[in-house]
Amino acid sequence: MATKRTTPIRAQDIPHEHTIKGGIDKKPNLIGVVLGAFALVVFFGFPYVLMFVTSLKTRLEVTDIPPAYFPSSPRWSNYLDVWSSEVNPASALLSSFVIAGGATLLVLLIATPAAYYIARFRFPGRLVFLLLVLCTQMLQPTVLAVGLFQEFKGWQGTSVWLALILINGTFNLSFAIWMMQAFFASVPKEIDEAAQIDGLGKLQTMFRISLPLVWPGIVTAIIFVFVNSWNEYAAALILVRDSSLQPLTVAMPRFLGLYVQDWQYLFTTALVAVVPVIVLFGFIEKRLIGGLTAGAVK
Amino acid sequence: MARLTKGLLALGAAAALTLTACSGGPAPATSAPADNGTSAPATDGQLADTTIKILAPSYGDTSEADWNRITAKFNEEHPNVKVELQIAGWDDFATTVQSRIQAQDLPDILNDNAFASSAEAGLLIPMDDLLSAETLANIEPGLLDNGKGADGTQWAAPDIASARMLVYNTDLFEQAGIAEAPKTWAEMEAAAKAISDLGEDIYGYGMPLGAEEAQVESSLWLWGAGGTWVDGENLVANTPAAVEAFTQMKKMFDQGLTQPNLEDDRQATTDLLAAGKLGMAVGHGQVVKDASDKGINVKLAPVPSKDGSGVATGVTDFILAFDNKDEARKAATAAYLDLFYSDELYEPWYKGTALLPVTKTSIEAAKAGATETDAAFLDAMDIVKFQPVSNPQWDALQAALKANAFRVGTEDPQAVLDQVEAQVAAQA
Amino acid sequence: MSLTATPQMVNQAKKRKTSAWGDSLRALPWLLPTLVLIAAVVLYPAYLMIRTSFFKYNAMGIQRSPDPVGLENYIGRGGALTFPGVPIERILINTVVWVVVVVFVTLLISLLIAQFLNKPFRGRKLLRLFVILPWACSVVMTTTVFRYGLQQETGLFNRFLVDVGILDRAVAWTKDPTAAFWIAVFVAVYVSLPFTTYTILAGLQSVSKDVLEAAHVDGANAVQRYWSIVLPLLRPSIAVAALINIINVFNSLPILRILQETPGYHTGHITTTLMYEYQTALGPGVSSALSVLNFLFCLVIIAIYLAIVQPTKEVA
Repeated sequence: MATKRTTPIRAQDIPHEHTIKGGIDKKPNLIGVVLGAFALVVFFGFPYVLMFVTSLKTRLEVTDIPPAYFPSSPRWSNYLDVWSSEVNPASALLSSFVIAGGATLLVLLIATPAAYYIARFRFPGRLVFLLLVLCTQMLQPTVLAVGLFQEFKGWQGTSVWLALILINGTFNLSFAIWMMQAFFASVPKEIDEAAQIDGLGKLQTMFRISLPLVWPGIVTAIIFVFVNSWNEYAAALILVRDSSLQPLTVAMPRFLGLYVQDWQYLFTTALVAVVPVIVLFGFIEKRLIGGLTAGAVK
Repeated sequence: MARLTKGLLALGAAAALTLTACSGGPAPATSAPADNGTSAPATDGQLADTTIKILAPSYGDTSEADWNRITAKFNEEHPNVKVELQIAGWDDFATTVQSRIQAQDLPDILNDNAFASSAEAGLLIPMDDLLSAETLANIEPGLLDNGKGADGTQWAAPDIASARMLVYNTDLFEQAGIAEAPKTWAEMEAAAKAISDLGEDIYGYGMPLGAEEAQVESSLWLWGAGGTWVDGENLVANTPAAVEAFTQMKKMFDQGLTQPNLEDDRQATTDLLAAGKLGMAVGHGQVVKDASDKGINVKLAPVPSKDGSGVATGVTDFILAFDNKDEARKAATAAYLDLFYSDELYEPWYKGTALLPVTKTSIEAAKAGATETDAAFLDAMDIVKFQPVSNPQWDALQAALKANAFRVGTEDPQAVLDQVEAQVAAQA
Repeated sequence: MSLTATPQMVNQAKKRKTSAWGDSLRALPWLLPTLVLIAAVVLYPAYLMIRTSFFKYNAMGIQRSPDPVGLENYIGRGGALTFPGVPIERILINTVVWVVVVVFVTLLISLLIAQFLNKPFRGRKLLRLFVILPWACSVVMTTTVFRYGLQQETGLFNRFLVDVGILDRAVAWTKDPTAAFWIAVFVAVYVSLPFTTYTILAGLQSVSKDVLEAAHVDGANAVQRYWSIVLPLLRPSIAVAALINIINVFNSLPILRILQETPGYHTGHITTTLMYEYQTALGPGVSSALSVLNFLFCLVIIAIYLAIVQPTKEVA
């Protein structure tokens, strides 16, 4: 925002030192950065501050009129009590992780070769394939719930996780394929050709040459598929019967019973569930930067 | 944590329910609850290997444990019967039920608040075929009748009951100089006006016409006008009595006597009441409890009616048994349900729901705990009315009321009810 | 374009004469897993959805007649498009507004944020994690906290707005269909930002510093560089991100469902939430009919998008 306008002007004011050092935006305006960062933190943080404050209230304080900004005395015990509640966030977290992780893996395995081939080769039916894949994205599990239920109703016990991995995988294929093929296509084909002249097969070329160059795209796909599966509700709601196997999205609403609504626990769980996801992103995010250097190889 | 007090409240109302129909029926098997539970099923524990499926909503945060306790006991007797329990949140319970029915994966036992359309479609096993005579006899007749279809068949058995009455803030009443709870619509209007005048953000009466409670609130007003939804075989929305009721509701809103948003759910008016900003609202036990917990003094009274006779409403949820055309499952279901209603297991189960029991023995046992505040429930019990849940058209009428009732604030009552009627008719 | 044609010429010049079928067959092993998965998971439910839309059901999901009822569920007395009291024109308009505004605004803000986060400064990694919050916390929970905060009496956002003087008195945002609709637009943008920002951020990694450097030396200013170098390079990832966003936003149920507290068939619905409303109130027949229409509607929007933006041309 502010930085974008001010920085280049400065750069032009003192063109020599900067161009010689090889930087266009190497030194962003400090004030701009601080302001921008502050704005982002506030913007992306404020709902979660409310969540946090509420998670420290008692059940009665949650519905106070007018609402208090802070609880009279923060109930840190909510963060302990919630683990022993019937909703059992620990097992719900595990379920969510297995399902989202499994779906992500599945999509990567299946979508990568398809995306690579689509990006590199022309063949009849290519566009049809892309559009077909897109159509599956338009049919969301919400709409197909009953059919999915009939199809997978026999998959009980932990195999319900497998069912949800398949379902989430399928409904996220389209993004992964479209996204990754766009990235594969942006890698100059000369690199592939050189590899193939050196005697590498298509599969080897994809794995050894192209893949490392499109890490940012793959990371984006991973994050997208993971989070979408993490958020999936409709299929999990009707498929998972055993409450100890329910993912978070299905387990959490059980805090809001018919007559007693435990908002404080709901928000406590929601915040606890954020932590592992953020940590995971923290690790994956390095790959996004890794892609930056890989791209520079060119 | 809140369980205990909630239980107490339930007890009071439970005691009340006994008075409704036949008080003083001898309570069987109080001395030997275990016998009552296990000897009932057909062939003394000789059930075939099978699996039965239960689908139940989450009433509160112990629902699953409450069911598991029964299953554990059941499996002591019948280790070869697998019991598959699914507990779903209230919010999307209807969706879950719908998809299982549509996919013909019928639960053997369903805990729900409606049974008429399943009964009409011939999907259910009558309760007489499942429950032993003792079990049936031990369910409060007035409540049991609520599970009868139009044809008189016992398609469902009540599992819990709850009552709704007028909850009023005695401090606000005192401040406004009103001596006692209003009985007629006119008195109610006057009381609401006096209370609204106390302050800018204080409202006389809470009228939640949101998707959650619109059917309850409108029914109470309709009954207050002396009307009913039932017209022979059919349910009719836009009767003159209904128009009169809705006109009165609109009058309350137009004069600023209600909370500002008619599309509120019960929780919103409960919050207002508990904050001491609402004079009156229709409520159940939990409403009273939430208010008292916040130090607000409330009392119960019959809901005012036009002529002052007063009304109140009762709600029962049900146990339904779907017919999976499998004798082994049917026998296991029968044994399970008899065990469910046994005193030993039913007592803790219903307490987990924070609602009122339906078996005579539990009500009897609960009577002892009736507190002073709950005396009001007792007086109201002979005026309790139930919604027409046994009529298959009720689903459609209820949905249409939920979708439209709140519009009475801005639209003509007749037009609103005609719209409701049109939506019901479109599904016929 | 000429560049893209080269590899095929080089690699497969000798095979040019082989039949089109041969090319497709060679592609098959690479695409087969995808096709199998789609066929296995989607085909049957999709068939069932269409079939359901031609039969009569009640709200409990019980089929009410053995014979198909034609277009009754679509345009009959209680059909999806003709149910009494449903402002269907308004809902169709809402749907288009919803998709266009959410996707467009998301894209604009994401471009800004991505550009900012791409700058080298201390703590940007941390900041990037902050941006992901709405996503990590799940759409449902994020929307729920907005609904909670915007309650008229118990909502802290409302109290805050009154306390700082922006509002005179608390407003029941979620109980007015129009207000709730625009709040939902805000929240939808809010939860779409992480994904789009990350996609663009990933795209920015492929923008070569050398080229920017060269343009800079040639005297192009920041805006010119952005407009003529960065944006064209971003185009493929933006095109795909927008495409996926359109579909997801179109199908987004939870945000509007949670934020619209007005019951019934009000003027703040989009077709997807109307479908849900039908499903609970009228049962699977009518709601499946609307699902089918919804799918076709989405198809039209995507077709228009593909025709204008041509994201496949980019890589052809």
